Formats: sequence, structure tokens, C-alpha cells
Amino acid sequence: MTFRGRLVLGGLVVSLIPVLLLGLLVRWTGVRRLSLANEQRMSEQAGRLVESWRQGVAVLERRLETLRNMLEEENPVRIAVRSGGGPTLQEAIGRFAASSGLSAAYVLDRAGVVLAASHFPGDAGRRDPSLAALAAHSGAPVVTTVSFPESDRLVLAMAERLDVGGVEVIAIVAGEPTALGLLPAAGDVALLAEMRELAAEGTTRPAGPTGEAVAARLVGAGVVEEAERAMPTPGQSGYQGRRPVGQILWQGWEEGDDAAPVTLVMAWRDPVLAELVRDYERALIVSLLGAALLALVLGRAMSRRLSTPVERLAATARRVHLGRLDERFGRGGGRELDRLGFFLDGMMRRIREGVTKVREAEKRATLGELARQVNHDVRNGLVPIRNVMNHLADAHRDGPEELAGAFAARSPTVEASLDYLGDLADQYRAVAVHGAKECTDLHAVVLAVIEANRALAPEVRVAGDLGGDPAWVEMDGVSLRRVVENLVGNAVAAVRGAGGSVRVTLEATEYREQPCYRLSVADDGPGIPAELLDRVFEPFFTTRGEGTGLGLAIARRLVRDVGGSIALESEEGRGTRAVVRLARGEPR
Amino acid sequence: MLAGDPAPSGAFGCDSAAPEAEYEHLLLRIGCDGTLLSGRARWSVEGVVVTLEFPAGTEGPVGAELTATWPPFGGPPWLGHSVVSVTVVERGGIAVRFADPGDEPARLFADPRLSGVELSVPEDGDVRDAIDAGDSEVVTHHRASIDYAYALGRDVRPAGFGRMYLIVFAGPADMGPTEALSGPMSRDWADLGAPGARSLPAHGWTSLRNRCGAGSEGAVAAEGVAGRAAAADAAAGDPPILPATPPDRPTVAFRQDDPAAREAAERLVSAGIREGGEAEAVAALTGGTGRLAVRGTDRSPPQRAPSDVAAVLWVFGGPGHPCSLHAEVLRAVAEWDAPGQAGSARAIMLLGGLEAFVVSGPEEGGP
Repeated sequence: MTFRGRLVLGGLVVSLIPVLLLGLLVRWTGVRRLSLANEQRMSEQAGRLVESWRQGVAVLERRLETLRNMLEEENPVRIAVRSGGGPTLQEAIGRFAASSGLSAAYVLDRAGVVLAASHFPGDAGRRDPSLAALAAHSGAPVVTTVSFPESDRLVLAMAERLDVGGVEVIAIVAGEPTALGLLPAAGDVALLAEMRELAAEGTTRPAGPTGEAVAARLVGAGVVEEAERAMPTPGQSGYQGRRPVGQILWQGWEEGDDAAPVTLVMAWRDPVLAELVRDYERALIVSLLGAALLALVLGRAMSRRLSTPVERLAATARRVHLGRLDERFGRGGGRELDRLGFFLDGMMRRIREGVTKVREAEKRATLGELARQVNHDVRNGLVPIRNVMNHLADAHRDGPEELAGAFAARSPTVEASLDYLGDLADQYRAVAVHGAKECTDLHAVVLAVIEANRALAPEVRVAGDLGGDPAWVEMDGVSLRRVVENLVGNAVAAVRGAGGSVRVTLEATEYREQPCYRLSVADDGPGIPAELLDRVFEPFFTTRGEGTGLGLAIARRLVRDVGGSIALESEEGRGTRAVVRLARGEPR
Repeated sequence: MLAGDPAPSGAFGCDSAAPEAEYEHLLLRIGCDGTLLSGRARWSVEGVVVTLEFPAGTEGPVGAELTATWPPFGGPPWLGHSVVSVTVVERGGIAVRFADPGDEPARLFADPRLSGVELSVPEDGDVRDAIDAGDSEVVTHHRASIDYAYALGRDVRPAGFGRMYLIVFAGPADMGPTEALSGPMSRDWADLGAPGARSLPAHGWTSLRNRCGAGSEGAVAAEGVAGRAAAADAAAGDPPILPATPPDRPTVAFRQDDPAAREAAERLVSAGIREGGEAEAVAALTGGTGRLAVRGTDRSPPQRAPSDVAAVLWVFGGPGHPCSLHAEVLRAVAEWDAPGQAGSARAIMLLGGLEAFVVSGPEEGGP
């Protein structure tokens, strides 16, 4: 990851963690306080519900008492009851129910046959065992379902057995729970019915199939919500709280006409809290996103501010090399980076001074090398002359005739040496050696150089694979010898002291569709590091402690001057190979 | 040749008091045992011609004055009887020629609608206001108004006509289940229903069909829905068409301002709720699609809704000729039925009649 990326990431982490922690703390505090307030509110509502329940039952009791009085005391009604019902009783019960606000009122005979039904005149004359069973709980409120012409409805009913003029009848009054003000059916408070074992208060038994059917009717009556239909266990309904508010008999909860005790539970949701949590979580997400965005922008700006001076230093450092040591790192980017730039500039100053010293030393070494080369070249021309002179002196001692003969025999040698020295003088006339167009036998030059190096460094095995034929190349002999001596000398120097070997190969080949000779000089020395390989042809560059660093530079110039090529390939630890290609020439 | 003379009051062939005997305005009357009796007129039948003769001094319209009050042929009460010609003969007599002799065509003239007496039953407003006005006789089915007239000490007597209530089912046309249901329903109708409610054991739908023939049903039904459905759709004997998807709550339709119809609908719902043969019969007749519910409607007769599996209908309750009743029932059923299903065979159950009452004006010097 880049330095800038790390800075941005760090900014993100540093900015988001506090926001997240603060948000969670606020959420926990808000939810806790609102929950406590809601608990208190629901407790109060449960109290009101219990009270309304009590009052609703009381209303039902009074209605039943009124019906009893009507049946027993109003003569036409009493007569109608004694005569088995009929229109008079039907009208009376209808008026009674309508005037008392009841949903339904019944009069049944002792066999359970409906004598009159306030809301369902067409039901008269039919036996209704479930209504008759209500009489078993005389005076107690029972939740049950009764038939209306339009539908079945859930009602709270109360029944009583009466003796009207010697005729036993069952009087029933019923009201829809919501109509009686008993059950809050709307909003976020629901009244649930749960089947509880009387002996184990607090445990809930799952509602059976009949219970589910009753629950479905509850849903239809608007008493409970859809989610509570099955009512398997408390706590699975999404309600945040529930509180028992009373117990009641419920007919139809279980199979048969018997009424079973059922606990009514008030359950509630807190939409304000839920909405608050939702709003809060939305706000938290928005805050986190905003903080992240801000951190990104600021982190990016700060990282750029921090990294730009560093990048500037890096760019300056990339431009620095031996040929360009005048770069300045300068200042900017803060005190620390200013100090770094100051130190780097100091370092560059010292490097420049060192390089200057090194170049001066190299120049001096170059002059020495030149002097040595001149000395060597001159000696190469003077040695044959000296040998001739010694020969002539010996001949002079042997007699004049010998001297004349020797002089005649050795004068070409003297002339050749003098020509060589003349040429040498011409070539040294200018440092830039520019060889004349002439052909030289590369094969002979290489043989001579190999022999000379074998004599100089006998511990190095110098092998040659040169073939037996002359190899004429278009290059003057001095330049060619200097090139070959440089390459072979470098190879021998690379392996000298380590017992290595040098292999020189000469072969006729083609280069760029032109006939040429390829001279390869390979050693198994330590090789040249890759990063230095490109620089070995630079003037004054050397990987050895001795030498001027001009040898390969001069050799490359000489080769290129005649249209040839020279290349160096090396692998560190395995050796170096120099390859020279020179165009073939014709001997003159 | 068949003939009859005006019968003296109380000279019916049975012991029970036949309210029809009191209807002196009728041309002919039907005794409690179902026999045809003379009313204002005597009758004779020769082939396809029924001749009505009026004794001298007969009260009420006769001759051309009477025939001018008769409804157009082809509608009630002529349904099922094709009249070729009506001829006024001497002394106000009337000769009516039918296309075919049919089944006692003379019974047709026991219909109050042919008596020449205006039959008006207030349907709108509070009938008690008309009773209070006391200008004339008031004919009504309204129970509270009848009670009100009794309380005022007015003369209240049966009008000699009324309504015949019936239930038509959208389920299978099998009449079998109606036999299990019609007995209790008709009994409750008469015993627990409104004043003036009476059962009509002699007019079971099956017997009417047997007597008047199912072959006429398609034609009459198609006639009844003329303008609502093409006659080509009226193919007698087609299977009944029920909603492709049974409604959530199958309904029994009734005219909602008709307490007697509501009560009949409720009784059908109640019968479907209970266990036993009646509930099974209801399920069979309604297609067994679940608990029934009543559905009040403003239309008379109710027009069938997709949820309807039955409807309480009524027809004029005075036809003296059973085939007229048969035809009028078919006509009412066709009007209730959905267009395109006219003439479909339906299970029909006659509940009973609901008598109309005549409330006289206050007597001179009365309250």
C-alpha cells in the first residue's frame, strides 16, 4: 500500500471509530429511557383496561337483569313465553336488545330451542346447543360466537336460567366486546387470548386447531391482529411487551360447547420507539458515511500535502547520476523534510567533491596509462631495431663481410620498425585514433596477443579456437592489436589469481547479411554486475582497482570507426564474454 | 259442458272457513277444498270457450266495463293461457276463447286481477298515515300498520289476495332436497311468521310443474327476461350455472324493505347453520359452498349477484289457476336470474302466502 493510501486509511479509522462509539452510546441511552417510559404508560393502560373490563361485565349483568324483569313482569311477554314464543316475544326481545345497545338477546326453552332471537328472527324455532350450554355458567361472562344473518360474530355473553310462569327458559344477553368498550382493538395495543392452565399460571399452552379457528374469528372481529392468530408462544409476535389483564371463559376455544378459561393478555408495540430506532440508525449511517467521506477528502488532501515533498525528493533523487550531480533537493514540506533536504544536499555536495577528485585522479591515471601505452608502442618499434643493431654489432666483430651481409639481411626489419614507429607517431598525433583503411590478419594478431598473455600470466589458461586460415579484416594493425589486447587483457585480468581460464574463439560468419569475422573472448571470472554492464564502455569507467577505464572505450571507438560492433555480456559469478564483429577485408 | 252457479255464503264443500268465500268481488272463487265456485259470475265451458254470465243486479263492473279493466293478454294473470278473443254477450256476459282448452281455464277467472276491482297496495311511505287519513280502504301487508288499525278499532279483513313467497336456488335443479326443507320452512312460515302468513300445501312446486308442465318453463322464462337476454340463450334443461369460484360468503338475496322476505332469508340461513337434514338440504340446494348470509337489496325482485346462491322472491298471491301461478313463478325467477341463464332449470321452493289486509275507513261516529 502506498504511503498516501496508508494515510487515508488511517484517517478513516481514526474518524469513524469515535463516531460509531458515540452513536451506539446514544442509541442505548435513548432506547432504554423510552422503553422505561413505555412500560409505565402500558402499565397505566393495563389498569384502565382492567377497569373497563370490570365495568363492561357490570353492564352485561345489568342488561341480563333487565331482560329477566321483562320476561317475568311484562304480561304480554310472559304470556308469549308461556305459549312457546311467537311474534310478540320476538318483537319484545328485539326492542329490548335495540334499546339496551346489545348485539343480541335470546330466549331459549329448556331444551335449547330458540324462542326468540333479537337479531335473527329467522333463527327462532331452532335448537342451539352452544347457546344452551352458556346456562352452565350462569351469571359469568363468556366469550362465544353467535350467528347473525349476515355472519358469525364474537360476543361477550351472559346467560341465566329463569322460571317464567312455570316455564323454564334461558335468557341470554350478548354484546360485541368492542361495542361494550371492553377490548382495545386498534392501534398498537392488542388484546390477546392465551390458553393457560389454571394450575400452572404463567405457562402458555399452544392453541390447538379449535383455538386457531377462534383466533381467526378474533381477527375477523378486529380484536387481535393477524400475527397473533396462531399464538404459539409468547414473545414470537413482535410485541414488545405483554401483561395479563384478566381471565375469562371462552366457548369454542376447545372442541365442544363447554367454555374453557382463557387468560386475556394485553400486548403492545411501541411504534415511537421503533421509529426512533429506525431514525437513529438512519442518522448513524448517514453520519458514518459523512464522516467517511470527510475523512477521505481530508486524508487525501493531507496525504498529498505530506507526500508531495517526499515525491519531489524522490524525483530529484531519480535524476541524480554521475553525469548529473548538480541537482538540489532544496526545502519545503515541513521542518523534518527541510532537514532531510538539507542533509541530502550536503550529501550531494560531498559526492560532487568526491567525483571531482576521482576524475582528477582518473585523468592522472589516464596520462600515466597513455604514457605506458606510448612506452609500450615505442618499445614495440625499438626492440626489433635494437635486435638488428645487436646483430650488426655481432656481425661487425665477425668481419666486414659479415656486417655487410647482416646489414643487407636485416635492413627490412629496421625499415619495418621505422615504418611502424612512423605510423605510431601519426596515430598519436591525435588522441582520436582514426585508423587508415587497410586490412590486417586478425588471426595473426590474436595468436600474437594470446602468446604474449600466456607469457605474462602463465597461471591463466588461455585457449584459442582460431582455425588455421588468415582472417583479413578492414582495420589497421595497431588499432586491431589494441582492441584484441584490450579484450584478452581484460579477460586475463578478470581471472588472474583465481586460476581461471580464458577462451578465445574466431569464426567467419555473417552479420546483417554481410560477411564478417566474429571474435569472442570469454572468461569464467566473477563477471560484471548487471547494473554496471551498461557503463563499461564509458570512458574512465573501470571495475578494477587499476587501469584508466579507457581501454574498452577506445576499443569500442576503434571498432565502430571501421563499421564493426562490439558487445559485452556478463553474468555475475559465471564470467564475461566480449564479442567483436569486424567486416571481412581483402589482403593488399 | 261444465258450469257453476253463484254459491251462497257458507255453502262450500268443506267445513273450515275459507277466507276466499268472503271475497264477493271475485268473478269466481275457489273453495277451501280447491273446487271452483261461482262468485259474481256464473261460468260455463264449451270446448275452448269460457262464458261468464252475471245475474241481474250483480254489483260491480260487467261486460265491456269489466273487460276494459283486464290486464293485457300475455302478461299476468294470463300467463300460460293464450286468449284468442273476448266477446261481450247479452246482459254483460263475457265469452273468452282460448287457443286450447288447457286445464280448467275457467279457474283463471278466480284471479282478483280480473275481478274489475282496483287492487292497490301502498308500497311507499308510512301506511299508517293513509289509515289515519281514513278516506278509503287501505290494502296493506305492513304488519305494524295492521296492528295499528286493530288498535284504532278499524275493520280489518283479508283482502283475498296477497303475495306468494318462494325461494329459488342457484344450485342443482334437483328438487329432492326441497322436500326435506319445504315442510319445516312452510310450517315456520305459517306458525312463526307475520300475521296473514299461510302455507300452501296444495301448491308445492313439484305438483305445479307436474300439472302445468316443465315444457312451458323455457318459453315463459324467456318471455320474462325479454330485453335482458336473447331468447336463444334460454335453453330449458341446461345445467344451472354457479359462479366458477364460490364466493367467500354465499348469500341469500331478499328485498330489504320486505320484513317477510328478510325473515324467509334468515330462516334459510338458520336452517343451513344447524346440523341435520335441513342443513344438508340447504347445502345440496346451494351447492354446499359454506355458511350462508343474507343480502338485502333495493331491487324488486332482487337481481342476482355473483355471491347469490338463493333468493327470496314473491309473486302475486291470488292466481286461481295453478298454471298462472306456475308461469308467474317462472317469470319472477327469470327476472332474478342472471342474463344468459334464463330458462335454466332451478330448484324452487314455495314457502307460502302472505295475505293482504283491507283496512276500512272509520265508521261514522266512531273514534
